[in-house]
Amino acid sequence: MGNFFTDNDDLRFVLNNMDLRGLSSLTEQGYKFADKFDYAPASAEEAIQNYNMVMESLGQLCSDFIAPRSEEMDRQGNTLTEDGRVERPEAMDEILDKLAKADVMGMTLPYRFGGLNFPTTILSVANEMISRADASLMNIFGLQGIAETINSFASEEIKQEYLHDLAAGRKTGAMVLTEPDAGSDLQVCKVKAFQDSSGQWYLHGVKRFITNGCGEVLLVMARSEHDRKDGLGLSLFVCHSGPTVKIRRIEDKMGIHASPTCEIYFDNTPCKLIGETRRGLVTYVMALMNGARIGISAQSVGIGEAAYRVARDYAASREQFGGPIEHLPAVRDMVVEMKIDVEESRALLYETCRVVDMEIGLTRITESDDFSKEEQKDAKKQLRMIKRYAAMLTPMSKYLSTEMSNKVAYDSIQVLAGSGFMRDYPTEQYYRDARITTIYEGTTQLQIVACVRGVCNGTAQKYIEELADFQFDPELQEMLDILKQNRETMDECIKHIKQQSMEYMDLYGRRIVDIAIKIICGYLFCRQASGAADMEIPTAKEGETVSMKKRKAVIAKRYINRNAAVIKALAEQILQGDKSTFEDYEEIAGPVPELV
Amino acid sequence: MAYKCIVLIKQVPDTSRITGEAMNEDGTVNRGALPAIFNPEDLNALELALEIKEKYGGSVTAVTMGLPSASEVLREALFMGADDAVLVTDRRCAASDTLATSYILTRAAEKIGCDLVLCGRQAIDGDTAQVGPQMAEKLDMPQITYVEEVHELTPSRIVCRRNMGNGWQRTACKLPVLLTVTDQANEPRIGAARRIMKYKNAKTPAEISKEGGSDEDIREMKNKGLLIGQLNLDDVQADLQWCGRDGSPTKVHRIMSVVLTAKESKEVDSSAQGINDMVHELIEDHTIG
Amino acid sequence: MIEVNRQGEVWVFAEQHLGKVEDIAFELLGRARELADKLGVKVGAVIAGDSIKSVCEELIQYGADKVYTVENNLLEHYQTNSYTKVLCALIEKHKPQIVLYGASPVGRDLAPRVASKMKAGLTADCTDLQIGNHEIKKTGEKHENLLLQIRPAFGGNIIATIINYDRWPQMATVREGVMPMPEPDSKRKGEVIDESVSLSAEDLPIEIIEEVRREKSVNLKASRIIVAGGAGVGSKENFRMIWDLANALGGVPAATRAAADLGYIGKDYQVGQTGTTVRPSLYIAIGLSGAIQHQAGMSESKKIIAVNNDPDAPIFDVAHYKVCGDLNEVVPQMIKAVKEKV
Repeated sequence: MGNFFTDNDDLRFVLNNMDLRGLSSLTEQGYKFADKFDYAPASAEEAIQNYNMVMESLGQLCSDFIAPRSEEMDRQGNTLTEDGRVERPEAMDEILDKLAKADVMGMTLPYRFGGLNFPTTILSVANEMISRADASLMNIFGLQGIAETINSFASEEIKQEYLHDLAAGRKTGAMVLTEPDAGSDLQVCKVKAFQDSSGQWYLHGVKRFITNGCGEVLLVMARSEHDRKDGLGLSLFVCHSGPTVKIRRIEDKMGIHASPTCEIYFDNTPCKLIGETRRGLVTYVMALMNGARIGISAQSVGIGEAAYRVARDYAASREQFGGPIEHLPAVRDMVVEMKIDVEESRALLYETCRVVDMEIGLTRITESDDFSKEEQKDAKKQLRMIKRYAAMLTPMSKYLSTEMSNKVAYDSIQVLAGSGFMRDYPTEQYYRDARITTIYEGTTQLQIVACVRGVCNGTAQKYIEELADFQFDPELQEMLDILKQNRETMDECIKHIKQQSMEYMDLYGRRIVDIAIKIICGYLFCRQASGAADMEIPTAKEGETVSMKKRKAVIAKRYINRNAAVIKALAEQILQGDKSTFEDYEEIAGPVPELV
Repeated sequence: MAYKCIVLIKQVPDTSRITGEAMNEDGTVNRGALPAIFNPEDLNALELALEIKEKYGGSVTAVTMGLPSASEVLREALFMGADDAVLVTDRRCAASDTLATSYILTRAAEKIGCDLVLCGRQAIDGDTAQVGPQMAEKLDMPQITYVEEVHELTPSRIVCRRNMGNGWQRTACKLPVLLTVTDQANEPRIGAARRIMKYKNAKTPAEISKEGGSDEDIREMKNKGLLIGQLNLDDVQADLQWCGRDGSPTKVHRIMSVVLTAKESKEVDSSAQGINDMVHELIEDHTIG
Repeated sequence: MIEVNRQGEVWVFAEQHLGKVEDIAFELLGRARELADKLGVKVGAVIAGDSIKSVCEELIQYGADKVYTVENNLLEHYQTNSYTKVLCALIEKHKPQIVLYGASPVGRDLAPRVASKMKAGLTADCTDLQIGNHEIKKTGEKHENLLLQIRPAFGGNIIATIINYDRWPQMATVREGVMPMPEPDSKRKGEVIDESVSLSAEDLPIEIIEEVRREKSVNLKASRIIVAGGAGVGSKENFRMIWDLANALGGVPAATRAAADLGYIGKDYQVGQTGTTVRPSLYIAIGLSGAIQHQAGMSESKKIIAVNNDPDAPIFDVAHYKVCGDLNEVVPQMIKAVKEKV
């Protein structure tokens, strides 16, 4: 029997070093729910115990029940029956049943709907473990954001109608946004929403690429203002699946085979409006997407973890040239890079979760009558910066983790070489599954656009200043000095970019974002190396252990030293200001080729 | 119709993790060096009972006999969905063999009362598969061993599919009945989050007292539904001559370790003599023969 | 329970299905014969069923001095309660000192029920039975000529010897296939004793609605002993040796992916990354190099014997017994040694 929670030292270390007391106090609003619900915690200790126990239990399910079924589900995929039903792989139904019985389908929902009132941080731990077991499953499990959106913006009547079923896992949901002509550019959505004389809303039109579109609860973005062609003409609706919701096809995909991707035709489907009209895209879907991006970031960390583990195991046991291949410098270096890449993404993921949970918690304080004017004022003040940090870190984390999962899955196959290319090992599935992560919930290029403004408008600099304000271990001074120089380099680049055009900022966006990420993660590693909670973990040498903090200091050193040169190179490119991409595109790209 | 199910569970050392280090010098197992776990097939029995409850209605009471620390598996049973949990614990239970154990658990089951008794086919520490049938005899119930599925359940009749090793049987009988359940029956669920959050605080009276709690505290825990039942041999009116060492006809004569210490290996000469010696050694240590 | 009865016979419960005695009963008779000779008592076989007269002679040929038969159409199919009643009635009447059952699904269903009703001791799943003495260290009390009931416990990590010196009969279930089948002796004479036990519908609480028996298909996971061959075995014909050794040991054959791909044996027998994962008490790896993919499926076996002519074969890294030599010589020698000793 294994356990994807207890066997993951880095995950537990990161979690132990987060301020879970403060976090739980925010989400539990001073532990006031304990009086009303016998399972709500009465103290920080109890809340933290709950998080750990539930994650440990889920970790076991992931390891012993879900992971062994992943290959079978990947091979089976989903099928669309003649009468328009989607048949999931058998194992998927069994797994969803187990998850429902485990009460984890409404992790972040309030107690009153049967939820666990867990913070986003803990949902991310769950998403990471689930994805390590089976990336496709996360696409259904992780759709808990739909319930969150309903909870945040819908009327009490709609909440009562939908949330109990979602929390209990009796129903699953889908975010129904994309259309054949509206992918990244959602504001051109065409699906129509209209009202009859009694005021009842209906939906009409086609949505495409809908993950779990066969789910029972559909959150649909549609055009309610027929005179407006932009994002302000869009509203958000919720409806049940039924005879007027027709699954027309399911996609034949490269990866995540067990996650059904549907095309849906709404044939005058009755629905209900969420919140107010015209705020669908600009407010509600933006919030929904931010949550989903954190989910995909966690999914990617899970895939990366799984891919790393197979490679690490193989490198130690595969013998060539008279010894295990991990003795070969080239393989050894790949293994180390993969491990650090996974830990880098994880560090940024949970830091992002921390900030997002702060945002959610503080927002609740400003909206609740339980707090004094003074407290609310204080919360509002804090919120101002926290919101900007969250808006920058969320796409940053999504970008970093998803690119990481692709690189690590790629290298994992490389370590296994021929065997990794064969279906005997799971690496090729990780590779195929990872591929979508940089695409859905906003492509890497869109994530860069979403965070580059934050990087260039001073938010990143302010945030990094806060990160640097920490009681670091004195041994790290040399590293902190390097990071300080890196920050000066970043300041210089930002200054240069701002003197150029917006177009230039987007052209060099990825480079400046990379610089920011490397500085942020450098500080995060240093913080981990200076954290309060340490643990002893085994090393690769049999019988030897190492303190996690010391290990993180080693990683911080390597990471910061190696990246100093990378940051320098990126900065040179930014400052050099090559514009041939714009100016010489026609010559370089040549005519559009004919595809035979 | 609501069926009252008793599920017998056992806390066992995780024998799948035995290494040379878990063995004492005299060849006995150092139980302390092994993690204590929920006996795997008892999880299948509990899962089956919970499925029966969900499908047909009723209640599930988890019962274990063991040390006070066995309350741990009872909490796990509560996490999974058991309505009640009862620990049968008494120093005088020590050294009970399967016969004495079945006697004590029978007394407990009679005190609690039930329509169905379920237990795992066997426990991984002893692999005897005896306590279930021995209890069925004492409870004067029919038994259906090696159950892998319950096809039908009415107040007067249960139909099960049994795994007979070289085939299967579909059998039926009246209630009450005792079932032993195999690992083929189902995949046990994990604890439900809300139940974990609530019942992590469940305790036996002994545990509450040990932490300095008063009778008042015990009553309060009971009111909150967080008290794990606890029975001793007097509570179940057991006749002591059938309990513990006195009640156990089988005794241990000798224990021998067969675990090879790490990396212990031998080069065997490929001559007839070498092969004969190796085969002889394997017969000696009961690996073959 | 019955009192200690030194003159009591050694009994075997002869399990039968549709009038055919199961192999385990003959295996038990072989050992019962040895035990009884040591004790200077007779061997009794107990058989219950509908028409069973025809098989009594067979039981005598395999070593029984007496065959107790209980014939009744209500006993046609095995049922826990009715068979328990029969066994208990006969035990009380004849007071045997030892009763042996097969550790088959039937034996393991019946024996504990009988033990519970008799309030007697029972040891499950023995792999060996001997006669020996026991001294209680504390009191110095000595018990001679007891049944030593030897069995693995704790997942096969220890071997326990169990005794029962006061509440008799001494009873044990014995694992199938661990005791050699004796050669039948057609000249042996014995006595067939008809017994009757009154039965009513109450003794048959179970209704058997449907029953399917199938020839044992391969179950690698449940096997204590596995003999695996690799591509090095050379040919399908040569693979016969793997079967022979497995049969001699009461184990099952298995193969690497390469050997299965070459068609030496069916895919069901494949151990490794893409086959079954096994952890038997004994794994004999023959003519296989031990690629990681194969090791992943067997490295947790309790004991591993590797036979290979390449001293650098990776399989030797995980083997407890390393036999470096030509498998065409080593394997026949192993078969011979096993047949002689066991």
